[in-house]
Amino acid sequence: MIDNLTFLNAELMWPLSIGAILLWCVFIWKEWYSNKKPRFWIKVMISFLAIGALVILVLKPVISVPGDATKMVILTEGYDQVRLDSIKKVHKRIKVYKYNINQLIFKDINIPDSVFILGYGVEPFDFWQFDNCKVKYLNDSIPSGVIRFTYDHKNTVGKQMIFNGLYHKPKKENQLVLEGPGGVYLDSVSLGDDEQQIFGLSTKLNLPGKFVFSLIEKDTTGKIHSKNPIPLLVEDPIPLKILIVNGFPTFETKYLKNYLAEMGHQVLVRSQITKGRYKYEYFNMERLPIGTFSEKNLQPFDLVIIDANSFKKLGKTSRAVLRNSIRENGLGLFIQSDQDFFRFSRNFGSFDFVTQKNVETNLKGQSKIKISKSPFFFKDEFLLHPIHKNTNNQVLSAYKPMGKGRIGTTVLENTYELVLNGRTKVYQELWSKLISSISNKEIPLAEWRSKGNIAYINQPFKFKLRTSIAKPMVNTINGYKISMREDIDISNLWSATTYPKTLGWDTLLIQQDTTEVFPYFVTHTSHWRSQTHYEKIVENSKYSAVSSKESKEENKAFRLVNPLGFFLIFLICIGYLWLKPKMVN
Amino acid sequence: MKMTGNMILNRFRRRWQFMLWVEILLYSLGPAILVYFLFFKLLWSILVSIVLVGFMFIFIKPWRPNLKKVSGYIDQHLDTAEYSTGLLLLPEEQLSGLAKLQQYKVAKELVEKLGTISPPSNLLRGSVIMGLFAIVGFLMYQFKIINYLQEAKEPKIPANTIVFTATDSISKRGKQPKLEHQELIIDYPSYTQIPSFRTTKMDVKAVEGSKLTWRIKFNTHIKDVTIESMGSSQSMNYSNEIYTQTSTLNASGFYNFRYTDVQNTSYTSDLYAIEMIKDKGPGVEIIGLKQFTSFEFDENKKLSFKTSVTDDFGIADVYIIATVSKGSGESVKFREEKLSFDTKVIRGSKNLKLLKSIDLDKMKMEPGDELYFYIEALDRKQPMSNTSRSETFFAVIKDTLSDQFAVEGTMGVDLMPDYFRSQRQLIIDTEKLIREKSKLTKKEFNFKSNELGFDQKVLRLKYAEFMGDESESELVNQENPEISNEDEHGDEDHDEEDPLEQYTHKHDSDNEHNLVDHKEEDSEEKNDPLHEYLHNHEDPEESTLFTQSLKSKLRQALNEMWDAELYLRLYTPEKSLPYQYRALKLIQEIKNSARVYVHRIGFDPPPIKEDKRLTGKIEEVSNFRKKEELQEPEIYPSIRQTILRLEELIIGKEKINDDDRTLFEKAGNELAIKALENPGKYLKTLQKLKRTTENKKIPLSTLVEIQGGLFDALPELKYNAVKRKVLTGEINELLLKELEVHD
Repeated sequence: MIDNLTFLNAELMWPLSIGAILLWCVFIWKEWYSNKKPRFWIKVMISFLAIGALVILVLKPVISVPGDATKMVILTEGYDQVRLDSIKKVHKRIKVYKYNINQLIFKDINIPDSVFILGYGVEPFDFWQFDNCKVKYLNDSIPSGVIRFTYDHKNTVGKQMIFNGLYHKPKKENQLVLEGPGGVYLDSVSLGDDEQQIFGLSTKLNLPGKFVFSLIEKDTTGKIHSKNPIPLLVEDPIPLKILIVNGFPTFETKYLKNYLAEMGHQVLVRSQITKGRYKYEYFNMERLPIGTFSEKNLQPFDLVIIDANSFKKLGKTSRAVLRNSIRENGLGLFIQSDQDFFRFSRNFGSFDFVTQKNVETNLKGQSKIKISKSPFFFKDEFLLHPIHKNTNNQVLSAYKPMGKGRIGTTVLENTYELVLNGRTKVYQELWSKLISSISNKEIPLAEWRSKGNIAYINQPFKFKLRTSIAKPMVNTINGYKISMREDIDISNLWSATTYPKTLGWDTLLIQQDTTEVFPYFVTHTSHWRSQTHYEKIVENSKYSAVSSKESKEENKAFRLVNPLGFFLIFLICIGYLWLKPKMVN
Repeated sequence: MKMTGNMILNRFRRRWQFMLWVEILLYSLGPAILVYFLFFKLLWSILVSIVLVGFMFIFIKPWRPNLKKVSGYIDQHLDTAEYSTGLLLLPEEQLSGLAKLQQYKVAKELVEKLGTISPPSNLLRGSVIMGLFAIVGFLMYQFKIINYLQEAKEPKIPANTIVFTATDSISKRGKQPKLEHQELIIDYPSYTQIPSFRTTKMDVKAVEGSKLTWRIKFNTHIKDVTIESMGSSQSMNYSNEIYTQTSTLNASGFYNFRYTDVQNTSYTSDLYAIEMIKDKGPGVEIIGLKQFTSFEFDENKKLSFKTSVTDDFGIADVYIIATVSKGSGESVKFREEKLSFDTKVIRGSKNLKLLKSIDLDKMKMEPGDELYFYIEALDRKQPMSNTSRSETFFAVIKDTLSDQFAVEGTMGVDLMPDYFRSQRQLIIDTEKLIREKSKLTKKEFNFKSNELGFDQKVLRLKYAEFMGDESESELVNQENPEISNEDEHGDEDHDEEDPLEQYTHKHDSDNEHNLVDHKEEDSEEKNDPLHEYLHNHEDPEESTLFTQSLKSKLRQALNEMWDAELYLRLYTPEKSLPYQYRALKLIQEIKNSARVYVHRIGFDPPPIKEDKRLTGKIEEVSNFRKKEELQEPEIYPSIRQTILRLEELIIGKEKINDDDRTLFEKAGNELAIKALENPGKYLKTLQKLKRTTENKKIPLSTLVEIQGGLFDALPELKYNAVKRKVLTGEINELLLKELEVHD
């Protein structure tokens, strides 16, 4: 029994005890000298009792109580009443608490040793309150709606915006619609009656700027059930600088250069007329002397397109320079293949091919369109990154990374026939993908990332920043500094949290380089409810899994010993000490 | 007796009247509920109910039941009243004793039984009617029928009237002048035979060339009215308080009205579309005829067919253009004729079925002749009628005799002039003569043989021209001895003249490319006059295989012809045949050797200097540089900017400023071009966009709609290669290096 007794104000124990003993001594001393009456010992005893009671009153003794009192149920949004009832049946004296966001849960002395969380869970920023107890998260209802989605928050003009998502418990025949600016419907998908449905919506972006697209759920009557924002940042494409080196003019190059030049890229074509004589064509660019390759004159280019024969004939230095530019500067190299290239190349810029009889193929996803190719396809090997495959999953064009750059080629031949056959779109799609993947990449100073890309008003918005700046200082648009935390392993990765206060577009910027901005969209918490709930469920489950594994002290419930008894003892003792002398007199 | 009879009856009357009142109320309440459900306006429904109450009050007359009526009614319906309720009305003093007794009894009975009968009323009917009205009203409200009705109604009325809005909404202004009358008169071109059309709808859709007249009248005096269309504006003419403007429709477009009132406030209307319908050309279809018909010589050479011609505004004329071609090759002759149909063409009819049969014999066609014809139809469009023609149809009378001349397998085209063929013809004729020898009389046989001999001679003389040693006069001599005598001692100059000059085109002859130079023929010193003009080293046949020169070959051929002629003249065609064959062979050889020159028709490449060839010197070859800007200009830059600006305006709380308005105007101009092709799709956006450039207050929803419309108008982008952005860190680079090492 005595083990269970503790004092609430245990820290006052020593000063109080000393004070009490002093007080008692003074009392004994006073009694001793005033009158050595026979009841001296009785008085000493009684005064001890009185002082003792007083001390205990101040110390506030508590008794620990075993059992259900150390357990607690926290009810959050979407909890299941049946589950609560069954918990209550097992633990009769369990405490029930209704969760309020960002508020202290354990206000009194009794911090329970185990907590059940029901419903969609508590906000992750409230987890700290459960540091000393075991958390068991009990939930089996996932809200109906879009619970997960992903899309490229930052995109370029001309590219496809693809929005993929997972819909939990869809209502049959409802429709999800991707809405563009001005309420234009861009794409839609019908929902089935599966438990979960994966859906994809896409649209081609044809305008640069900051936009808020929306995902709308409509029923068959056209009534809109929900409308959630999809913020998008669309940038103008950066044109490429391309050098084409050809031993002789070909139709393939002619059509390719025309296409690239029309799309606004800077193209330099050098084709050989005769020995030592060249034809230089400059498209959308100033004249630039280009003789033999040197690192300096290759510097401005993002991609070199060269035919296999010219490539083979390159001198030793040119070859070394080219290799170096690829390795160090990230230059892309595209080799226009020929028969010899497939058979005999065995060094820098070589690929392994498999012979095959077919000289016609199709592209994955466009099985009806025939494209001529040489009787080879790529041997799939380590480090080979396929760009195009046919319907049989044979690699038709691919690249290999080399240092910072890439070397690529294709087995497709005479693709200009597509243009002649009126399949310009396929031709453009083919080459734009090929050239985009091989050419040099722009290395931005900073890259911002955030989960879900959407911030909610008055909610913490976590983001990560990868930058080559040594110690980035991030400010809000109003000039407030945001403290950044460096990743322990990766030195250029920083993370931080901010709390957006206004709706709409907001911006973060790096103080060192104010051109590096991070526009993000702040929306109301009522948007994307299912997704935020789902995220909370996942977070809570994770937390619960970790928390239940950790061995934590069993917390005890305490009960304050009623101070009235001590007070009475004190009163009686003092009363006796006060009255006794008077009664005698 | 507590209640007098009078009181009883009065009470019953009051009850009756009360029920009538209730009935009136029920009748009027039903429609009132309905009205309320329809329009949700309490005032309206109260008004309706008051009016109905008044109406029903007159109709039902609730004041009518008086005591007399009441007593009558009770007498009829209550047996115990014993038809004596009338007694209750009379004062007691006037009644006899018995009557008093009866009065008393009745009064007592009435007190007890009066509750069992009720005054006549149609309360049930009233409540049913009210219930029906209420249910109908509720259903209409529930299913929003009224919305449909309103929707159907709404656009009709306001769409037709021109709505003017002030361009400047801030400046103070007086009362806006009101449009009293608007009218658009469309006068179709007279040939369409469509009567002129009056409408209040300002969107025009009419045939090209229609005359459009607008008439607008305002209630007050205003400064001026203009019609603005596609960047130009025309002020309307004012006469008799009506503004009019007339124009001829010749292109699709948009227009709007603008007027300025006396306070100098300017007002504009919405944009209206003008859609021009082009008068389509007539459609011609020939039924029941194959594109290509051929007839045997002895067949009935008649072509019959039916033609259906349609036009949207009436056909002016239909006829057949037939061309007969005679002969082949260079000697082909054409004869064009315009034929009319057998059925009469009715001018102005929209759909014609015409019949025609063409007799090829009547067209004076002979075997081997071809007839091409097509049908041309004109419509009545003014000033230039639309013409359309059918496909061309062919009819051929098969030639009974067709000789196909093939020079040699290697020669694709028969380029040889006709008179070279005759040697073969001679052979054929000779063979025929030999075959028919038994059938013919000797005289006939000899005659024909002689004839062939003559032909052989003519042929020989023709070849001899190239040799220069045979005078054409020889031919003449034999035929016309008289003339020959004159010419016998004639001048030598004649030698050079071509006897066929008048009958042949110069380039028909074999000597077209100066294969044989006439002048050179005279110079006797040279053995082979052709030698100089031939690159013999390029002709393998010539250089080694044939030792004999072309000239000697020709002479040899002429000698063979001499002999052939000799035997023909001796009436022994059998003996002549071998010579003829040899001559033919030789002629063919000559032709073949000439082939190389035939191929040089049209292009004479400049001679290559021999010393330049294959030297490998490239001093004169230089580098070539060219610079081009091929980048396609951005399409619709203002529309793009406008969409972006609208996005900001929609999200933010900014207001439209002057810069925006200029931008919107530019975007409007860009959209107008696109809208011309598809007015139905973009007109609304264009109208709204125009409003934003003028008014100051634009609701947010309109901005959203404009943005949507503009977004729709953007063309699809082409696929483009882009420079991707990738952030690399130390770790990435390390990984790449590591991967490469282990590759």
